[in-house]
Amino acid sequence: MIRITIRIKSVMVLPMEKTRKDDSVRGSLWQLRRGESCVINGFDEAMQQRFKVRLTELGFRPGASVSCTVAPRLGAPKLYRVANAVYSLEKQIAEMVSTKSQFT
Amino acid sequence: MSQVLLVGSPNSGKSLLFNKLTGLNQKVANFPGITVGTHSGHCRHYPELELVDFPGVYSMHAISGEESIALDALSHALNEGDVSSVLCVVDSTRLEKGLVFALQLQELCGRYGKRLLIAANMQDVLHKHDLDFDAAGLEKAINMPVVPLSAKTGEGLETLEKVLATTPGDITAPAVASDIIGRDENAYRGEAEQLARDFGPKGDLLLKTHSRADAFFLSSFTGGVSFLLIMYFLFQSIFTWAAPVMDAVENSLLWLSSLVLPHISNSIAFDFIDEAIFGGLGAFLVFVPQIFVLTLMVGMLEDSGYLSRAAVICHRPLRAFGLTGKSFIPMLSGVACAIPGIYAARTIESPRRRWLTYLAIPLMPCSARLPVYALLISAFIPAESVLGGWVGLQGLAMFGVYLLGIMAGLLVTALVSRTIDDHGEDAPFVLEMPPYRMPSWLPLLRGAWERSKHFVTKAGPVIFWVTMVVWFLGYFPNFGADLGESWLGVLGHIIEPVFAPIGLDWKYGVAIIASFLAREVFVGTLGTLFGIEGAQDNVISLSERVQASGLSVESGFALLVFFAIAAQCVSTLAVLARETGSWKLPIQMFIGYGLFAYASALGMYHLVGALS
Repeated sequence: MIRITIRIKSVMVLPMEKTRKDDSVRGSLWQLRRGESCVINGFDEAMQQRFKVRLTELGFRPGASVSCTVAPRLGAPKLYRVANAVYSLEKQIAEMVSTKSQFT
Repeated sequence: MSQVLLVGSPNSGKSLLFNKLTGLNQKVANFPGITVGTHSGHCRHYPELELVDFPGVYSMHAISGEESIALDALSHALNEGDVSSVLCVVDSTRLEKGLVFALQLQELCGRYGKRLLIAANMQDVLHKHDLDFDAAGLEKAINMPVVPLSAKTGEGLETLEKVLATTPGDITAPAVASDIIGRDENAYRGEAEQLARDFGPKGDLLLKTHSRADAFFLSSFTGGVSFLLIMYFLFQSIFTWAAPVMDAVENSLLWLSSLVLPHISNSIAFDFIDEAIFGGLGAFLVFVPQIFVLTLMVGMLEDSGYLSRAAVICHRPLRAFGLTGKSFIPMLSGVACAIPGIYAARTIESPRRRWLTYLAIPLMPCSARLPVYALLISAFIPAESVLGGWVGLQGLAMFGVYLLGIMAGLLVTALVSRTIDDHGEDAPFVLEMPPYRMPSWLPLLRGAWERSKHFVTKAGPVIFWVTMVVWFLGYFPNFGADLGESWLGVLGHIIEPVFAPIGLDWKYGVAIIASFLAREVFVGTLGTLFGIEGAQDNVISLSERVQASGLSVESGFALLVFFAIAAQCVSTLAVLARETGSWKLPIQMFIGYGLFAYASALGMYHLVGALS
């Protein structure tokens, strides 16, 4: 009889319990890792008004819950889910979106 | 006659709905910004209704050139046109996204006294996942007609047409703040989210499969490898899939020539039909199947939703060359034809990066270069496979020459980007990821057929007249007895010194000069010239004729490099002048790329010469 062993290197485990909220965590959207969620706090003062408006219209507005669905390495843009849509944001802009809570 | 304006956010299925209602065939693709100008057509069942398709916009606050054009055109149409209704198409699976714009539009339409309707598209996707959408509830809440439909399956289209055909009643502006631009976007978004929660589908089934696919296609390792494999497969397919059809076209032309030529008694007419028509035009027609395959493959990528992911993968590397991930889509469109690529660059918000993308697009290996590449590759690269038959040498060479054009484009943008300032107008990379979809084969095949037909009808007359002139000058005054002594031979010998340093004789010089009108003319001109020289079977033997003409391997590679870089397309330069509002850039490009092409060809000639 042939025994086949499959070694799984990494598995994304879906939480069985309710998500854990940590209000003390403050940072930028860019710091979010894959599978993590956060609440948007606001925008950096340096961000141009037209981009603040566009991000707000897309759903990245203060109080909105956003999750990171894909976070490639090497500084490539990350994918963020907001409501039922997914957007890709590069570091330059995601760093200017501040977050106030983080869910894992 | 009354107009219905079709508007909506990108990727809402607006153009597909337009096509279904009008029976037209506007380009549809699964990534933002495919509609870059307005298109109009008459409703099939109510011809008195003229439908106008607008480019997709997210909101009334434009941040890109494409959005500004769309919003200006919309304001103009509402102000000047005989508009009966504005139809806002929203994606029911991502309702809040489309409703932000719909709510802004409601206020605008109210001001102009125009009726606004909502077409809640993608109902087929909701049915597939057993998700509900409360159209009646939404209609009541926002006080405007909401028609649930599927542009893909045709569900609800009849109802929509009936509603559009009815005369709208008195329209008044809703009781909201008066200044659209001044109103808080947060309020619009908040209202849209609430409406989506109350009446939209519940659950996120639609995104789970996409996240899994994204994790694969955007991973640092698998994403990069799959991107390279997909691109390689694209170029390999141009040779392998098109080959049987190319053979069929060659054989058909041979059969046709054997049928026609014996009935022509006049020797000049015989020579003309044989050399100019079958030799010149025929040689060009043989390559049309490759253009069909290329368009089909690019269309498949567009339809699948992969292109937006490719833009994400390419963003970081392209930044190093002064471009953005959004430059990838216009550049890939430029692989089929530079003109739609230039239009697609409107979606790039940053003027500086858009300008740099304009510089790169004419260097993308467009389909007009394909016949030239295919001719030279089949003349110099053996049709053999390596690695157990998995890698064809000709396909590999095609991949290499395509890569050369892309690298040349990146090199130019990298150099130029370091010399110009962005004046603080640079825009960050924010791109919506459309859902993955199985490509719809029928529209794709139709699109590839239309593109090939357009290519033949657009390039055909140019090639016809050029081959006529070339044949006339090459045939007289000695009736084809000696090409070298013909009028063309005399002219060719005058320009020969220009091309002699890369080992090209006067015939290739004439073909290159003629190809500055359009690149594909090169093949037709060579076909005619070799036809006049007196051999039979012009059509099938053009690549053999190139070999027999004494063209060396180093000259063949130099020619490939020259065609990969030179800006030999009058139409592209004209479109670029229109988009930039000046002939400055096209003229600079024509001269600069011409010199760059010549210098690179000379370099390649000596490099291959030294290696061989």
